[in-house]
Amino acid sequence: MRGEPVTAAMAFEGLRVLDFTWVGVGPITTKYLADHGATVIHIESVSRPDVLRGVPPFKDARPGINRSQFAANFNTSKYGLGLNMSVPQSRELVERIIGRWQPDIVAESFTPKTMRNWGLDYQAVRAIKPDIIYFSTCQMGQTGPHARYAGFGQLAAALAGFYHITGWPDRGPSIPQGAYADFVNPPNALAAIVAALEFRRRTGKGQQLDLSQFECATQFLAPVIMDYLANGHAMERQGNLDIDYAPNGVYPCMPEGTTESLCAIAVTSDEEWEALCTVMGNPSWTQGSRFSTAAGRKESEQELALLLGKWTANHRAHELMDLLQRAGVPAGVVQNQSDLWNDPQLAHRGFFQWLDHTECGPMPYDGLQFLLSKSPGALRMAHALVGEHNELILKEFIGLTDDEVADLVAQEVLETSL
Amino acid sequence: MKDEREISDLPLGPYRVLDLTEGGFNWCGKVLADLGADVIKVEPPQGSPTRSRGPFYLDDPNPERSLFWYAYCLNKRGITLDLETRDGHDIFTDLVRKSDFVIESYPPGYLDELGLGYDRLSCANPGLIMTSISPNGQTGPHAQHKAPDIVAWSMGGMQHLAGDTDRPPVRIGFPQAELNAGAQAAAGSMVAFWHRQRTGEGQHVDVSMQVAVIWTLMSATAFPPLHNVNLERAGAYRTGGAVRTKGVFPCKDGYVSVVFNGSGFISPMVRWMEEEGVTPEFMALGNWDSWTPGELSARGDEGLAELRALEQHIGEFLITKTKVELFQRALEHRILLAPCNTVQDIWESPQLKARGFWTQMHHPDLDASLTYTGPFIKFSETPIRTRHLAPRLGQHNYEVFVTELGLAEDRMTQLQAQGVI
Repeated sequence: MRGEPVTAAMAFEGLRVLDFTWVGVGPITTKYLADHGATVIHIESVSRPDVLRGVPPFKDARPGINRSQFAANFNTSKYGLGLNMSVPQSRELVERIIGRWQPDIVAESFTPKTMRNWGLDYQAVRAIKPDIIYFSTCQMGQTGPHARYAGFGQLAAALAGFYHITGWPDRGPSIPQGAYADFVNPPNALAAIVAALEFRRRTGKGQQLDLSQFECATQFLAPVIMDYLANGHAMERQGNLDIDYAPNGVYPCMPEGTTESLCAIAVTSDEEWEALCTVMGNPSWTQGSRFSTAAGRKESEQELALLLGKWTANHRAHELMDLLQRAGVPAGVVQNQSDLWNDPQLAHRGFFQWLDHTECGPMPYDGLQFLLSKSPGALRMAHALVGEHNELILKEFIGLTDDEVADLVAQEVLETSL
Repeated sequence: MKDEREISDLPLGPYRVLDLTEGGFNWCGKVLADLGADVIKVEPPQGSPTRSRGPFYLDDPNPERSLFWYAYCLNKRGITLDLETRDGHDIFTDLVRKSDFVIESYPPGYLDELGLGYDRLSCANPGLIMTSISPNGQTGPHAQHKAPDIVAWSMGGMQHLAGDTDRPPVRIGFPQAELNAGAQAAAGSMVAFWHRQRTGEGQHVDVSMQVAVIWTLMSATAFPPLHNVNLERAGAYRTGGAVRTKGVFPCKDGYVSVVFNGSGFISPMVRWMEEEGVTPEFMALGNWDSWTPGELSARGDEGLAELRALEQHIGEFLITKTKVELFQRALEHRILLAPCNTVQDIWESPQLKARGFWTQMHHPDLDASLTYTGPFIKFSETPIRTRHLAPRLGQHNYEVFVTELGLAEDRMTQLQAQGVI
């Protein structure tokens, strides 16, 4: 299971990526390139490890630099090169790699001064490789008074406005799971990088891409921002209510064991409302009532939610979903993580995968983000240890001699977490 | 025409996209349009249902006044065409021959029934990239499910993980599931595009909204197989570690979010509190740089008591400061803290202003200028620019059908009379 034998075409075959990224946005962006065939050299460090390597979930629930599934999940199909960038010879080595290997893309996700301090910013790399596509992403972007701000996706999500509108009107914000901005940004970044490759194909010109995680994430609230600027409405927390239709919420179902069980239901049209009434057996409170129009349902949505919840409480969540979906009413179980592993639709798509990791053995991974009919891509390799492929990269890809590699070891340029 | 577009100064300038998506899936075409593609919304003659998505300009629920439509159809053109008619079918197939991408979000199988599925369209244009976005994917036991935002958010596992513990779980207040699927569709389309540029071969891209939501879970999926637990919602606390730490605190004029660790948060907060003479003794004496929540569980009740005391004292300090004061200090002293921005805060951000993020666009039909969010990324050579407003219903019918597709003018008039266009 160590990577699937790759027989199908790979979209990015032949593409070379030198990847300095860490944490969320950068690694997930270059993961798309790696899973779809690019050769990605992921530069990491033991002395200054990717913070995700210290974060659970861990294999066997046991911490360790090589044991974090959190880090592994975002870094499939990449080759590991371990460098101690505080040693000056490391920077010389990177320059040699760029000169000899001629990467198409350099990617980095530090605060703006880091690559500059290493002498590896866009201008420096461009001097060696004039048509390089240089992808930079950080919280605030490469310029502006807040450019040096260092943070995580959790904080970018707060800045971009998601926290303030999540939760109940009479309480403070609830945290949307995880580091939401870290997951909004990468697919957009990938689209932009391929566009830059296309521009280079036509014109021979490379360029720098500057993705501010704040600016990109806030696009997902663009209509809310326009509503404020044009109409003066500032969105506040509103539980699960929708601005357009009702009912829209999660409703109690019969508990399964000790576990809370809920089903989401959303009625977006009169047709769906009538179908819901039919499934419920047309109880008297639905007949000829104020709920028969969209405006009426919206106006009395709190009361409607209570009435609906009394009915759903007599059903099991999965059965209720099937019953309602068959009748054309949008409904879905509020799934926890175990439910996802048991979801027949995800099984049909072959979503979850297990890859054989060098230290941990079989590790679970989230699968591909989309299915492509002709160049499907694959999780080709488990997460590399730091520096797992030092020799392969330096000798086979770059063409260094045994002696040169031995010197780099002696100079403490190379690191591994083997 | 093609040659002229080949020298376009925008990355996707030479390429055309037929955009049949609805709702937040429009984000896919918006990305391609921002990257320079000629993205044409193909609406039914009565108009796209997305035009009835709020919010609306001046709260007027008019299909030409949806701010949702304005925001996510910016930079696109628009035509109307009834795909369920024979003529509509033929004209659409002609358009597909002159296009590079079709993106759509109909229920799986609908376009196949009209003879406009991938199998048929790829015969007309073998290089075509067709991207289909649906709740759960094109095939499988849930392929025919309907999934507005909260249903997809629930089935993808995000709903379960947010909200106060004593009330039902909550979603993000503005629908996100479709937008995430739209972003994955843009990425998948561009992977397929690069494959086509190298090989000439088009393909079908199958995007599942459920999977797009799972990809926002931040590896929560691995907790059952590795730790034998499910993560649960925890309100203002962060879930995921062995010990829950508080991630949102009230401040003087709102809320801030923090990453509760040693060197990035507690230490710089202790230094600030010392400057103002409000540090309790245990905080002044502690060495916080190496403190991590991960090591707390080994210390049992004593560790937990220390965490709660830290949260209490730091919380009491934070509530005396405004969001701006806290964020300014965070910038100067590298504190892992950010304001929970309201829309007003976002608008007033000095960073966004300095980077020229906001874009003003004049709407002649409203006789008003509206402010739009700027580019999602900055390109040094090919900056994203706003080329035109979201299309009015059928705005580019003449331009596309007559000027570009070569339909005779009287034929178009006839098709309009028949309700095809």
